[in-house]
Amino acid sequence: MSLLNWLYTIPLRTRALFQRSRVEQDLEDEFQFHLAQRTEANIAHGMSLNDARLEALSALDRISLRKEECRDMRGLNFIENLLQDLRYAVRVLRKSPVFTAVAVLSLALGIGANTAIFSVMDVLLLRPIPVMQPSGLRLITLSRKTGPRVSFNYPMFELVRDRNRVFTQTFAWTTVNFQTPQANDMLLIPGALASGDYFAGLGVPPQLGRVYGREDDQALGGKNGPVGVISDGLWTRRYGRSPSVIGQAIILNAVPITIIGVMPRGFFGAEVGTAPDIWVPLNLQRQLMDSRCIGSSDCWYLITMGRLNPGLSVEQAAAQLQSISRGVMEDSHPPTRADRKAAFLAQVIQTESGEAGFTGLRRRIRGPLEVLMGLVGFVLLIACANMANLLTARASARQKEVAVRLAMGASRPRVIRQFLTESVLLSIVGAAVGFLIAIGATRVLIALLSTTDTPVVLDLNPDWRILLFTAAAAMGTGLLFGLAPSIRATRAGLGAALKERAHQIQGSARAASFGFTRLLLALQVALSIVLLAAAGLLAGSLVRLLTESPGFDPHNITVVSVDTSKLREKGPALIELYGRMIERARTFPGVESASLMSTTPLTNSGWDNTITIPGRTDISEEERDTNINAVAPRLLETMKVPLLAGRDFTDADTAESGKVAILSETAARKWFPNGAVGADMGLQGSTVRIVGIMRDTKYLNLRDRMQPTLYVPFTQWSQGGFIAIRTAAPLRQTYAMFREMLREVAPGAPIRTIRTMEQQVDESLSTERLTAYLSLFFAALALMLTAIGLYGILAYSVTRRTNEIGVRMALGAQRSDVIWLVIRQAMGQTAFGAAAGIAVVIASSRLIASLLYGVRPNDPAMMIAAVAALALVCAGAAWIPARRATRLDPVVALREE
Amino acid sequence: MSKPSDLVQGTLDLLLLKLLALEPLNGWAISLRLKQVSGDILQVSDGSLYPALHKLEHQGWVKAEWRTTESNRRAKYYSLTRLGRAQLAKETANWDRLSAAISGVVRLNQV
Repeated sequence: MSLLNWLYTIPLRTRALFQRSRVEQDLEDEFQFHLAQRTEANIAHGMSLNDARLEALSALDRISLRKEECRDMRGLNFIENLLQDLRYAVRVLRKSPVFTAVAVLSLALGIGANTAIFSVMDVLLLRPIPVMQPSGLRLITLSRKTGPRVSFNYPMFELVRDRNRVFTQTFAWTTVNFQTPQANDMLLIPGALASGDYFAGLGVPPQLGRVYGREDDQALGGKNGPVGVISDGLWTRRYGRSPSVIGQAIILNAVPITIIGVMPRGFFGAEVGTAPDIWVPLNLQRQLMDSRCIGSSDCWYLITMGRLNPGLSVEQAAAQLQSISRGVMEDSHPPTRADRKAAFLAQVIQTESGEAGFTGLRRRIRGPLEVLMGLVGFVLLIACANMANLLTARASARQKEVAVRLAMGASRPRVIRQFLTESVLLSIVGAAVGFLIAIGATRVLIALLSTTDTPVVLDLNPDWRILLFTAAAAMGTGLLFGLAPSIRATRAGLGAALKERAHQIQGSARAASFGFTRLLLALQVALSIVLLAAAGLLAGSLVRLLTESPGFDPHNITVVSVDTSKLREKGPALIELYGRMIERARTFPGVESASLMSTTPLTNSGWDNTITIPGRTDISEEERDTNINAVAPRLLETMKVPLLAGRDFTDADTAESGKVAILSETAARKWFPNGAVGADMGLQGSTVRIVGIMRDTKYLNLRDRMQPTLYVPFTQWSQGGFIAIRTAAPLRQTYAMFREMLREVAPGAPIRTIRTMEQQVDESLSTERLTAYLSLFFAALALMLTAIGLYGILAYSVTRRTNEIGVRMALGAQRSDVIWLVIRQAMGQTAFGAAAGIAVVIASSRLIASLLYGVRPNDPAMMIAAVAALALVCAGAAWIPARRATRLDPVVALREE
Repeated sequence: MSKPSDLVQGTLDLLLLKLLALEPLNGWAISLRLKQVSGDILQVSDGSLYPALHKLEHQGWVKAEWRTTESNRRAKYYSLTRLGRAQLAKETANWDRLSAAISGVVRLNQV
């Protein structure tokens, strides 16, 4: 049809769409007029009134069909039918609120859980960072045997920056906390030290003022002195969004920094999960942090990115970077030891996509997140199967309605469309509710990921990917799981509806028509088993980790870290200052003991080195690697680590006295099988006398096996560390007392972190806990959905078999027989699914092996437990319909026909 | 839409356009007129008439309005639009060509 015709008929179409009842009335009137005229004409030809009318009707040949043809001519029938279907669907769904609630809720939970996990995945792994053309960013890494290294030292960063010819800008940064005075107190604010080309590379203009460049990135600042760029958040909180902030000074670590610009809202740089409030040039580090890392090849702390030259492909860039790699390695102080040197020189500079930014979280949670995404996908499948089952059961119950509609002249596609409208409507409502659930759940997830050391700040606003994900999930489930039941319902057609009565007595025919439902139920059961097994294994691992003894008593210990970088005291004076802090902490009311350690356990960071054993050449270097902790006297007492032999350190072990050490059991057994106390060993060129042996403790994390550990006096190897206080007092009280004490003993030194050792142990397991809790939740959800599905099918089948059960009871079946009849049906359907589920678990459990601790992936006890849990829930779901079946009065049941 | 089997495809449209070109008519009158002019040769069932009329209306070739008949009943009268006249001319020309071609073929067979 031409456009002209279309324009011509717009009023007609509008009328058809919006004045539907008028148009319908017109259609009716038109046909009635015709009937009346023809009837009159027939009478005039001598027919009786009745015959005349019948003849007129038959001449029109099924009026309702003709009307539908006329409606089809409007060309708007699609929209009109849709509206009609929607109205009808809403009516039908409102008429059965329980069905609707169950369907919507199971979908909402399924879609909500999926959306939440996907959101976290999206934000951490997929979403491009909000900078100019993020796809042009490359994260620069070093190839190593154990996987790429993302951190660079400063000299190497400079070499890469100056020698590559593939990046328009090469920049590096590290995130740090700065001290800034606020109302007579010291406040720590998150910040970043970022090299000169950082802002040019990211290409984000400031909303106020200017950003800094290479010329400002110098040890004492450029011609404007030390400058910094602040975040929109800091600008709002501290400066009330006043434009006069430009040119003002902010004191960071006692150095005045001139604010030259304000970044726009939402800008966080290129490190996902962090939210710096201020960016300062990297070369100010020496002045700000009193750090020697600029110019040192010992500090591997810079994340390095480059913006790829637009004319170059990733492959070309890789080739050029490879060609400069050897030279860069040779010029950046390779280690002197032969084997390490060779490995060092063999490193190749590589890149990976920087589009989604960099995050340290990625490595930690990628594995768990992928497993969770898989598990939560199963939950959605179960929810979909549930919906399909519910729809199938309903469709069967509505067979008569379908038959009537088909008989009235509705076409089969038309009826299918009606059913699909209902299922899509259900899934859209489910998705909407699920989306709300997801928004809340995502916040909880991020909170679970955050720890004191690495607070996670993420942009949680759902973006188009998440909306698309939810919408696709909704439409997909609606269409996929609405289609099969509706096709089945309409295929049966007229004949089946008439034969329905016969079906009720013919068990075999019924079984055939329920094959689809049974298959879905088996699928649900199988997936539930998989989820239960996975949840059991992950939760089992968590329990094992939680009950794993770290070798010390983590209860009633508070760990305080003090930022002493801005104090005048250095070297021996600082050691003495820490000694005074410990001494004062011991006098706090309720404190049993206090001490110090350079490494606080279970934080995945620490100090390790290789020791030498005089006269032992048979032990390989790898076997001589040890964890080291520099501690104060009485740490063993504070941590409740038993001393097995020898003595603890005392105040007499000073920087001037002979170097001493306490060995862990494992280390002593390994290196000094003939007795360690009194023996000598070499550490970093010094000779150290072993004075004691202590019980093994966990060092980096709870997962590691007990490894050789060496305690040395902090007075001989370090200048300070974490102060550990054994006290039953609440954290808040200890915090207040400690702060008061610091004001006296070390004014100008704020508390960096304070927390209990229990918190620290908890936080060290945050990923494991997240994974375990979520998988348990998903498994519970799966069980619930499966139970609902099973209940629905059994309840429906009992209703349909009322007649049969009546006959059985009339013929003498006992109540127990009837219960058995129903339970047997339930068990039969569960058993097949359970067997399939176990097969899947056995085949795939290796996929989560890396997340497990202390449990075997194919633990038979776990499988039995999973099946038992499922059987229990299924029996419960079967019980209600079974009971109902036994309450049937045979007479009533038979009369029901 | 079901089509009268004894009418060449599309000819019903042409017939309706032609009838309505002469004067506005209601559905019943059209069915009578069809019988009159074709002398019962063209059998168009009452039922298939209306979908055809509605199609023409929605293509913009005819327009409809409600009027009162002589017997004082309300009836829907169809009349030709400007677009409809153009369409009629086009379809008439088509028909002429088609019927000429077919008669040619038919005569050829008789020889």
